[in-house]
Amino acid sequence: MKTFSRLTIGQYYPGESFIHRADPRLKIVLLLSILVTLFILSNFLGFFYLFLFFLVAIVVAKIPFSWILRGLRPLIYIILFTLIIHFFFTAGEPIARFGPFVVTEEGFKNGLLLSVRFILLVVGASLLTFTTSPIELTDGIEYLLTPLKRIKVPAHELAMMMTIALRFIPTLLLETDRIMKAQISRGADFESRNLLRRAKNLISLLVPLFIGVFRRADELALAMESRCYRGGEGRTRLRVLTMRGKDWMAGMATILFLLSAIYIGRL
Amino acid sequence: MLIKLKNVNFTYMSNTPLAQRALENVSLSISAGEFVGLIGPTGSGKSTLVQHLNGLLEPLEGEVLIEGKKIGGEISPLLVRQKIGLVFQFPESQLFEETVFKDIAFGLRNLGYPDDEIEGRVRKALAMVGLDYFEFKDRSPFTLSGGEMRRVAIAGVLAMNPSCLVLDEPTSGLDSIGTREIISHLERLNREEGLTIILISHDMDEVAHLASRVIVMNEGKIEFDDSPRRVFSQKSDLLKIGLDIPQFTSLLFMLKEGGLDVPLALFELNEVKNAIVSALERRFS
Repeated sequence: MKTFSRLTIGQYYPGESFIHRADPRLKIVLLLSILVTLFILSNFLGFFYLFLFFLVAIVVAKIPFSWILRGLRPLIYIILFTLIIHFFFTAGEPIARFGPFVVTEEGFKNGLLLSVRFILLVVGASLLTFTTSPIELTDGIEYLLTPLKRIKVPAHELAMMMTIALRFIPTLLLETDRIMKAQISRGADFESRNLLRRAKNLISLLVPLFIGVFRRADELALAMESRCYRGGEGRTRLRVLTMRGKDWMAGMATILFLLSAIYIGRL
Repeated sequence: MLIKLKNVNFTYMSNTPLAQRALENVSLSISAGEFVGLIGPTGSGKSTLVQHLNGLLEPLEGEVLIEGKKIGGEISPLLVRQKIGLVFQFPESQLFEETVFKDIAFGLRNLGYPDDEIEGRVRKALAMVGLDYFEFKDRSPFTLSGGEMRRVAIAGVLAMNPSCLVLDEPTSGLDSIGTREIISHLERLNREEGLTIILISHDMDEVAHLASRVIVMNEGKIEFDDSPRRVFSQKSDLLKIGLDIPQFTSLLFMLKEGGLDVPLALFELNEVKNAIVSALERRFS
């Protein structure tokens, strides 16, 4: 039986490190700045700086490297695809030749830069989700979106939807496993080489799953209403987010570091 | 021997920090025509055990034999699933087709039966769970009552004509009418059609009433494997691992503690009544 336990992207790795305890709002803002930086950088030295930065962060957060690598594994094909497209289809100075295909210097360089950028992007994002529990994450997002309420962005509702979605992922995985086993017991084959048959069998999994989701949504709405839930207006929080002195300092240091990386990386 | 387990060991997520031992050296054999009650507290390994019977889980060590052939080698998974019909908890959640007929036929189509044979089998399966073929075949499974849905789901497994039917708490969450319906059909299937049945249940009265043999699991091991009379006489052992005893047995235990000389392990209303009456007669004559 295939299980879903191998997928690590978007999972929380519990810990007590400085990065784990930092304010989620700070972590989100810093991740966004890092992403922007990644797109500004245009040479390998700058990327190397960021790589060092991530390395330090991973060590400080005490996240096993195997987790980071497992998060990258699903991306191998996308990266390979990017590399190949760039290698062969960029105009410029030819450096190698495979039959009718020509690899150009520019293509080689651009392909590598883009792949490195992509990998660093994913490592950065997984660093945030590994060190921040889903609840903290949505709390942080809600807070950061609050100014947008003026222009009618439903910040609280969006955050609540995310929280609920995250909460039900494990439940749905369990349910999927259960229904799959029940249908396999009735002779269904989810790994058949015959695509048509596989698609047909998939229906026997998806229909019950959807029915279950709708039923759960109904029950949850009822449970929330019977506890007087009525949206974000005037609602107090169990966990109040606070920026500690250390958080401010770490935030400043990171921004300074990013600025210097941009300075070097643009040359 | 229909089913044979030899020293089966199983661990969930083995070789990870989350490893969880679920079965420890389980050996047992079940012959055709038996009605086995499988009881044990939550997490004792009952569900893991039954998933080994039709090859959904493969033992880490040891082997599972169906009619003498080893699962995963000597007998194909599809054939195992035809021979050992597994009905999961809340089986109504697996219904998905537009009509009751199509849903029951799902397993048969997977096994590759021709259309003309399917109709007869669906009709027989519906009869086995006491539902009228013409009344139900064209209805959507989602318009049925809870008890009817569950019986349709069980029919979907019965249609595959298994030699052994394994049910994981088939009556949980049903009202008393639904429960009684299912129980009486199981009883009849075992007695009249000679179907081997393995029943997981938390209802000790149900097990005592139906089973000819009771297997008690605790922490992945088989604690008892004997007739209901013998097993349910072990009151203190059963209570210790978090299980109950049937109400009749409980009553007889109390009478005995109160000084009345009654046998302990009786499960039928008439037997119990007669035993109490004759004990009282002996006492006051």
